[in-house]
Amino acid sequence: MPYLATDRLEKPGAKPDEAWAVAEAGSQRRLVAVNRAAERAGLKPGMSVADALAIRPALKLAPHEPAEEDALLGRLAEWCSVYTPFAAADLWREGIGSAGLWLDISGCDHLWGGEAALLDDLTGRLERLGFTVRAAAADTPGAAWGWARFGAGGVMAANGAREAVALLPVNALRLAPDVTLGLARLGLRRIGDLYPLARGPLAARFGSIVGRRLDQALGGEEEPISPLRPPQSLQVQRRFVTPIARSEDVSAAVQFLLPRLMQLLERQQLGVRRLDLSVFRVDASCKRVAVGTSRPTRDAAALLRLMALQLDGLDAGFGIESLVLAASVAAPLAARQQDMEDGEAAESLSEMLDSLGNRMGFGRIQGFAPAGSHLPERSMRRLSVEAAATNPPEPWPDQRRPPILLSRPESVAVTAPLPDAPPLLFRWRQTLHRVRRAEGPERLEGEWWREQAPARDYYLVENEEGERFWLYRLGLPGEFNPARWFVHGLFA
Amino acid sequence: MPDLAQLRARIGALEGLPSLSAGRSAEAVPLGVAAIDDCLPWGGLAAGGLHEIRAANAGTPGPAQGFAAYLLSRLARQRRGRLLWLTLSDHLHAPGLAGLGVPVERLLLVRPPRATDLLWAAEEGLRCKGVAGLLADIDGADFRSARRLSLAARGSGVPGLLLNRGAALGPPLTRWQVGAAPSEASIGVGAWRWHLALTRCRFMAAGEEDRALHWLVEARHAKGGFSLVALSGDRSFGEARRQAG
Repeated sequence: MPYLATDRLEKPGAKPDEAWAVAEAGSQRRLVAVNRAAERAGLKPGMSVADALAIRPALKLAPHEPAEEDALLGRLAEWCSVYTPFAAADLWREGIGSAGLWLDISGCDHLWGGEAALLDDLTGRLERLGFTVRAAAADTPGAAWGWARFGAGGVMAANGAREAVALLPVNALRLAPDVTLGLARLGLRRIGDLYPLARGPLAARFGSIVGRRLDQALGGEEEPISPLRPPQSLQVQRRFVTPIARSEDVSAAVQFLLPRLMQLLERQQLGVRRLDLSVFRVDASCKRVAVGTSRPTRDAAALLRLMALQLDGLDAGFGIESLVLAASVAAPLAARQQDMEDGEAAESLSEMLDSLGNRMGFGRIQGFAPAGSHLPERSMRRLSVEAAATNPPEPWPDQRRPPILLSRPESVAVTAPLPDAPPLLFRWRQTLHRVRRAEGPERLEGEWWREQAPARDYYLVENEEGERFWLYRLGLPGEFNPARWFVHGLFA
Repeated sequence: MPDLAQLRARIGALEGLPSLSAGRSAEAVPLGVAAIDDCLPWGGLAAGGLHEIRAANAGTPGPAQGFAAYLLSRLARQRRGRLLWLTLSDHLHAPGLAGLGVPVERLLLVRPPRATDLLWAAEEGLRCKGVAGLLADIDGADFRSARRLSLAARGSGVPGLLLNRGAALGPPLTRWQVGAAPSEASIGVGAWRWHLALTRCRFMAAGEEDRALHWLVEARHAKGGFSLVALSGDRSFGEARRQAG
């Protein structure tokens, strides 16, 4: 995409001879990218802004925003996953040659009627969106990169990379500017010039990069394209001849896709834990909607209900041309439930928990299990929904513990007759409580392996009304003067 | 002329309320306290309806929560499935709940971010047949939300306990008020005691509607669990019902 930086800014339908350039900020303002009209006028990236304006006074300038460009490229790459699961943005910034998109189309091209047809479709769509595109398909990513930017573009004959790229400038090997400059000084201007050379001296002079790039272009070295997201084998797709926009149509399409996905899963005895719906819109943007479930399921109706909640706010933009539904997280699920009646109740339970979890977050649903600590604030573990479903009953300690434990113990003023006696009176939340009965102390030492915390002496006290509190005194008697007291819990 | 009990049963059926069949209803969950169960028209806590529990003193939430936890443990004992506890606060302490007889391994705590989410979640939970019992910690609810909860419970047969700090609700089947009572023991603090009042109950005999029934109950660790014992209380309503029936 040679003019991405300026294509991004130009309004569709602008006059073709309007010159645009993108310039760096700073004192030495230089052009970073120019559009075709500016190029025809003789402007080049690297030229200073002042020179450029002298050549072309009507030049329109815009600030250079690399992050915005990268984000745009990322979005385009995501949209390109319509063509292949292996699509990635190529954020090339060094030397000559511009950023672009990588697509590994091996095994995908036949779906579009061959490589040439796929390229036509891709370039056609991007051009309609106002982007200037040069596309090439070749045996290796390296050759395609050079062929798109410096060659004729289009589909390179299979096994023809060696001859095809021989005439291209060495820039086409994705080399840094100082390397190409060095090669040019030695008279090595074309890739073909490098073929007869011994690798050793070349590597000694320029590092291994030249040889590696050459191998990558000619297929001597494998270069994988790291995709934006791992390809999904558990996915189904639906394309629309006429783009759809209404939410009813989207949910109808999801309804159509879900049973097919469930069939795929059933064959592998898997159930969905996370379902991703990718919505590809005509304006080359992509939107993703996800739902999670608390346990693996293949219940299409339940998943549809969950998905419907998420589809409500979906923005169809100018229309949706393709939907991909993928089970991005799947877990083993046996073919049938054993007990019918129990199965039905369990089914309705997990459905309900899913709808709660998807609206509020699964972290907001938890189970409990005893933890190995004697300290009240660490005496229970919180379990996730899944863990709670399978966790066996564990015995809880037999001491009297309050069902309400304040998350922060609250300091109280206490009157106690003796330093190690239970309180007679205490004032908590502006109320004076007269203690009628008390039990204690129960001494809980700090966990020595954690921190040097003073021991706490807990008392269960009951006031005259029969309200029961859990109080503690911090530290051993006489350690603090006066003793510090806290309310930690409320009993039933 | 049909007698009063039949008439009430017919009205109840028309309203879709838990049936008031002769004797104890199969869908009712007894509290395990004969004196109280006898006073309830269903012979226990009716499933498929809402039961409101209020603290007698707003500053003392312990006893009301304790009684609600006890009811939840009774629901768990008779019904299959999960227990749900919905609350906005984070002070629930599982060891204490276990001490009140709640089978904690069956309990799921749901902590919605806002009160409106809590009411929504409670409705979802009450609709679900896989729930043995649901307890929602609420701060009042508008009439419409309460009505929705009531309909959800009625449709699925799941009993809903509403631990309510706010204004009294319209549609519950029973409303309980729980306060602390001083314990008795020769040394230390004795078993929990609560003042329990049934301040509202559907199908109470005419004239009884406005009269609350009171008991003093004590919670005891009994063999194989936890139980309540009525120490003193009101038995007139039970007798009145038998006479009317």
